Amino acid sequence: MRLKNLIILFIMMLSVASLSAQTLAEKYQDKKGFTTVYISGAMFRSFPAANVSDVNFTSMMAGIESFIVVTTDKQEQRKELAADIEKLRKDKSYELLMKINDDSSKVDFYLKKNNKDIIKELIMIADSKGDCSLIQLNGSFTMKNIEELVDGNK
Amino acid sequence: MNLTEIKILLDRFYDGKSSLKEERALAEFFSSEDVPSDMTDDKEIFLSLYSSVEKISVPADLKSTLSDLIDECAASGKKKNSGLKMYIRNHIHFIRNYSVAASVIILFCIGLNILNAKSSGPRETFTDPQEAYMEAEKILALVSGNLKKGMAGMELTEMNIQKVKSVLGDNKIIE
Repeated sequence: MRLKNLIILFIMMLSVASLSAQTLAEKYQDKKGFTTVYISGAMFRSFPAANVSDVNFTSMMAGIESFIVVTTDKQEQRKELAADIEKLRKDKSYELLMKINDDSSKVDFYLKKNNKDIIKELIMIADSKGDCSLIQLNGSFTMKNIEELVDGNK
Repeated sequence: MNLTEIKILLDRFYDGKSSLKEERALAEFFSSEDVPSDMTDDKEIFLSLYSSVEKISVPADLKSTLSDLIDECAASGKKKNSGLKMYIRNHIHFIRNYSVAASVIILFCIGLNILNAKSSGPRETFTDPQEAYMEAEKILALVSGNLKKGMAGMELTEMNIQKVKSVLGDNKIIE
């Protein structure tokens, strides 16, 4: 009996490990009906320095470990992505930063912090009638970095 | 039986090699009155030893007692062996359980390694940093725009709250 419990525990551990080992990008990268973008931290750090744009993410760049975008406009695929988004919403390690509801879409921002100041993940979930998108920024950044991203190159 | 023969038998007796027949012959000789004077010591020694040998009686049931004892010892030996067998069997059961658990752990580790080897991380969408930059910029502009929209909404809400507060404040003053 004890052995049976032990085996069940290990099977559970294996399934949890296999799930956690797979990132969103890995899961959706080769799936039909999804558009994915994955940019690693190394790629961010190799960006041309001379580029000037309206978006100011230079202060964030050093801290970015990965940048993932998953989007779909197919009804069937939406359900799968929505299920993952729902899991994320229920995950208590994420805190809701803001919700923006307008006529055409619903946008939610979630944060995952490792301590009071350091943000480990910034997630944007956009759900409109046409498509569903998830943007995930992983790394180490602060609220000041996010404010700079909002303010842009003024 | 002459004296020389008697002396040979006596030597055999002292050496413990004499047969019952020889001992009886010696006993007969020493019990007679024709024992030479130089053998009186031998007579005393022989008769004292021979009489004590004769006194020891072998019990009639010695054979069966011994056989019972041997059986008993064999049985207790078997019991001990079965106890040992039980002990080994219990330990084998214990070892088997833990070896299964250890196998599961090993399989788990192997599985995890295979998974890790397979999931060597997601592939880069862009190989050209310029292209990646342009895409990141486009998406981050979208993120920034939505954050701006949300913050503007928050500012508007804050302004409305301030308005409500000031209206409530005015009302208080009117009261």
